[in-house]
Amino acid sequence: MVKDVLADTALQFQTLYSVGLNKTDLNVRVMAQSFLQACGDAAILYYLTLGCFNGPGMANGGASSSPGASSPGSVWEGDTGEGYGIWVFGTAVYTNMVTAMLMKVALLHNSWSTYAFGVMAFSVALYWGFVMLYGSFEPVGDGFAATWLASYEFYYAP
Amino acid sequence: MLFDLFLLPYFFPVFTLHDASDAPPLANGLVVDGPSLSLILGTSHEKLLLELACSCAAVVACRVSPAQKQLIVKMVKEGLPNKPITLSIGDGANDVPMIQEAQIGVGISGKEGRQAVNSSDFAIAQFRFLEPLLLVHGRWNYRRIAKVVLYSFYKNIVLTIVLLWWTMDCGYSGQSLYESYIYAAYNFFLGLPILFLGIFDQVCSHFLSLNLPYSLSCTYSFFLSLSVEHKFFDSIGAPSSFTLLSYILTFLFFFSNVCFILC
Repeated sequence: MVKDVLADTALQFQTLYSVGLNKTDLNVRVMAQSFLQACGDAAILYYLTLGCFNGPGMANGGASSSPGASSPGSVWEGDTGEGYGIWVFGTAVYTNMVTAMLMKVALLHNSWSTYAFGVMAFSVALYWGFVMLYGSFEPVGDGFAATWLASYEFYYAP
Repeated sequence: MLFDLFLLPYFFPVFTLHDASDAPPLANGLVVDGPSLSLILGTSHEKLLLELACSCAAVVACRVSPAQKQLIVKMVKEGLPNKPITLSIGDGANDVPMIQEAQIGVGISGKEGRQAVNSSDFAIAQFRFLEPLLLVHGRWNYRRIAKVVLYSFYKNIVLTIVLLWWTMDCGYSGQSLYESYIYAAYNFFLGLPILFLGIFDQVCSHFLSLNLPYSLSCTYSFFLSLSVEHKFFDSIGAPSSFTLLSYILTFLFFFSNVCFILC
């Protein structure tokens, strides 16, 4: 039900129909531009989060510390190449990515309806709720008798 | 509404409108009947007929068979250099071949049965609904689909390219960056907003749409022209704002005890 102009307007000024005839909104050039922009945005999202995650930690050889502490750890622990907190870093990247995509949708909106607000809020709540709940508990034990304990470290990522 | 009211007096002078009256009028008309078409279609005269038809405002083909109707549509569809998109509209069984031949087939449900409707892409109740079907709903849907398609590709490319950067960073070791369930739920988190955008979004309000209709070549409001037509926010504003938000949030959480306090 997207309406950039009203029905009466579109009927009165029929050259508005040229949007479709000229294929201005969806063509090879527009798609290539969108793909390139996606690649650039992906690089920004990834390396920005990486820079934040490594941060001053790289100054002391990437010595790790617990995430959320005043001095962040490195994705790679020291010079050993061993991974530290990969899912913490990954979930941070993911959170930035989801936030960026929701912002992109918000910018694409030309008008806001109650449904649009509701769905945006629902998506945000869905993501944060899922990550918080899923990251908080881990089944310990077998089958239905599993005990759920807070354990995943990426709980702290978002 | 307030937004529109404020912008209206300031940006009205730059508004230019291109009406259909800009096109030069075609004064000629052509009537061709079935027996004549049987001599023309399928021969070298077909191209001459097409050239003649292009110089006319309207061409009426009368007393033609269903097969000839189909051939006329095919002649236009394939004979012109710019490969036009054709639309056929009919209400009877004899219109079915041409409805199926055209890229867009429209059937009218009426007294002549439902064969045309059943074989068409779109069905309408009266012929007068063709105009809003094309000029209003067709246009709206084109812009909706364009947005949804572009965004759907965009968000999945971002997801994939981030993994590419990560893969290069870890020496192509195949290390997973995301936890598997979170990774799999990407389109669950982001599927609904674009779906509802494709259903409910409107470029301008009722007031602005009625008072300032525009075409692609016009700029009627500063912000709309930046965000919608010139893709300013798409190309510069959006990545910049994403970057800023990502940086601030990530920095805040990794360089402070905020998340522990919150938890």
